[in-house]
Amino acid sequence: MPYRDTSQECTGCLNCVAICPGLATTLVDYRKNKDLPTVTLPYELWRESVEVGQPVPVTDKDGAILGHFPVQKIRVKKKYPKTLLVQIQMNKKFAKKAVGIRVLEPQIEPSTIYEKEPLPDEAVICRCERVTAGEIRTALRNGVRDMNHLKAITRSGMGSCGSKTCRPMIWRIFQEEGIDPGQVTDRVDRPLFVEVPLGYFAGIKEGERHE
Amino acid sequence: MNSYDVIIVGAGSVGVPTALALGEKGVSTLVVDKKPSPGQGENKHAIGGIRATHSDPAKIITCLRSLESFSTWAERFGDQIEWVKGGYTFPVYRDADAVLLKGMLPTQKEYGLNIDFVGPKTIQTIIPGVNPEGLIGGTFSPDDGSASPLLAISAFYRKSLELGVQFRFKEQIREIRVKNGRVQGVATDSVNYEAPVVVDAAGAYSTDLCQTVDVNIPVVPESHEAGITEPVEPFFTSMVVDIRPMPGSKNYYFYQNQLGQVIFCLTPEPPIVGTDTRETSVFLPQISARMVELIPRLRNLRVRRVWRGLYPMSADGSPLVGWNREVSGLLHAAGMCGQGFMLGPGLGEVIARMIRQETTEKDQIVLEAFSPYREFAVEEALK
Ligand SMILES: Cc1cc2nc3c(=O)[nH]c(=O)nc-3n(C[C@H](O)[C@H](O)[C@H](O)COP(=O)(O)OP(=O)(O)OC[C@H]3O[C@@H](n4cnc5c(N)ncnc54)[C@H](O)[C@@H]3O)c2cc1C
Repeated sequence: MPYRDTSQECTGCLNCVAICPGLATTLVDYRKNKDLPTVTLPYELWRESVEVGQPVPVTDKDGAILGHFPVQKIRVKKKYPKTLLVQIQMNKKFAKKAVGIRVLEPQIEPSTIYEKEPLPDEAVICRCERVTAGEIRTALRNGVRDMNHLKAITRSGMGSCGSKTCRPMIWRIFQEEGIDPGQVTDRVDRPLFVEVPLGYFAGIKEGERHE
Repeated sequence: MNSYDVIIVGAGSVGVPTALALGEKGVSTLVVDKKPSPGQGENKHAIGGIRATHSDPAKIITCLRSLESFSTWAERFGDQIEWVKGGYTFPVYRDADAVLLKGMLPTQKEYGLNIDFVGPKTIQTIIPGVNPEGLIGGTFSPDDGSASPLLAISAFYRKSLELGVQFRFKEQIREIRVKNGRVQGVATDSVNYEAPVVVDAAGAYSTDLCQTVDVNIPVVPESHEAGITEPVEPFFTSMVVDIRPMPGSKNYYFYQNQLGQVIFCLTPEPPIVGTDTRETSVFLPQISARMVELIPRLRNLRVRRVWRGLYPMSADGSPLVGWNREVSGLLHAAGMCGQGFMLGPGLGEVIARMIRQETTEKDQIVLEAFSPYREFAVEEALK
């Protein structure tokens, strides 16, 4: 891991911003203007689309937009030609929060299908044992409140994955059915495991023929 | 409100079918269990074998009734319980075992069991790939079989609810309540339930339950392990029981269920007494070596899961069923050993008839053999 050598004053050379392969370094430079520091953000993806003067959305570490700021300058270090160093001026209050710019328009919407409507009855909830939402719903409507009982009746969560996918989805169906979570008994957790042949436990090596 | 004709402690292999039999007779019944749903005690640890192949007439009679119930359940009530009529096979490699098994045949046949000693060729067709070396033959009882303990108890439970039986889950019975030598009901930490009859179907915890009224019911939990493989194309349907003892274990038994998974279980020797149900690392190497020796082609089958549960053991391997002589109204249905699942439906009917004072002649044979006050002298041969 590179680290900052604090024995020497930062000269603002920007090498640290350009060198980081994860685009994780930004530099806030207060030397010219204390209240409106210059922020340098690395950018690589769609380089042609960034121009001086153009206002770009600046994001924080969660991807939330802090505001739109005109690009002051675009610099490139000779040694790291692929990384644009995009400079903007920002209010000192937010300057340290900036981590990137968003140039691309969002191409896909986050799926809200789960928020919008209940899973269709035919949706497969437990993939290992191919149990559908409808089968689980029927069991809950017949009074099942124990995940182990549900497992016994429908086999949901019985498979080799140890219920990694279906468990939260089953909890969701309990909620959709208006069942108080306090009434529901959770399943017994299983450790991660791999399936191993009986022959291995019997001491037979792979490929060896048994008498 | 909290008053019933009968209270059953334990919604397990015996408690639920007993409730069903009482429900069918219109007896107002409450079942209480500390677990959150039916069968979460030992019932779910059973691998699902159901046989009338015993040496003791009482067990033969009881399990023949159970077989009738399991095998006709789907057509009578619609619930699929994965019943497979695959029979039980005891392959024999030692003369002594042939003598032992053949010696039981007359009694078994007298009480209506369909069983015979067959030659090695027949055993090889029943268990394809069975080790032929030294195989003498074995017994085969084609009307025995297997079912899913998980599905069966859920089906019995569903039907019991339909018949008006009441269930309370997540409630631990702290004591049986008795006044002037008569049962009054049971008590949890917060509620009293009233009934003139209390059935002790508490499985591995019967001793604790009965101690609350100073009754000593000698049930000792012993731990047994089981495992299940991935599903593969079905290639045998019979339960296979290998009764040859080996260092560290007595017999072991296994079958392939309706879904194609092989389920297996071992009887450790010496027995592991206690209520610890954490899986051990010795079980799989032990049973795998034995299974692969018996049927070499099993070696490639992959193990999916193992578990450990309790046999509620009596001193001689037979259950303890009967009215208590000191506390009137207390009915024991305990000490099911390794056979509670297969005994459950048959015993449930006997218990319902005891409560209604309708017992038959056959019931008397059963009740004499299972009496909690018997001399625990003879061990059952196939316990
Ligand atoms: C690995 C393994 C394989 C087996 N395979 C087979 C097989 O193939 N065939 C077969 O027939 N049998 C088999 N058995 C045996 C079978 O599981 C038991 O004999 C049977 O489940 C016992 O039935 P039960 O009703 O007495 O006890 P359980 O089914 O355990 O029921 C007793 C119930 O009482 C409840 N309880 C106890 N005390 C209290 C209290 N104070 N308050 C409230 N509730 C209470 C418990 O929570 C429990 O649910 C196997 C057992 C094991 C461990």
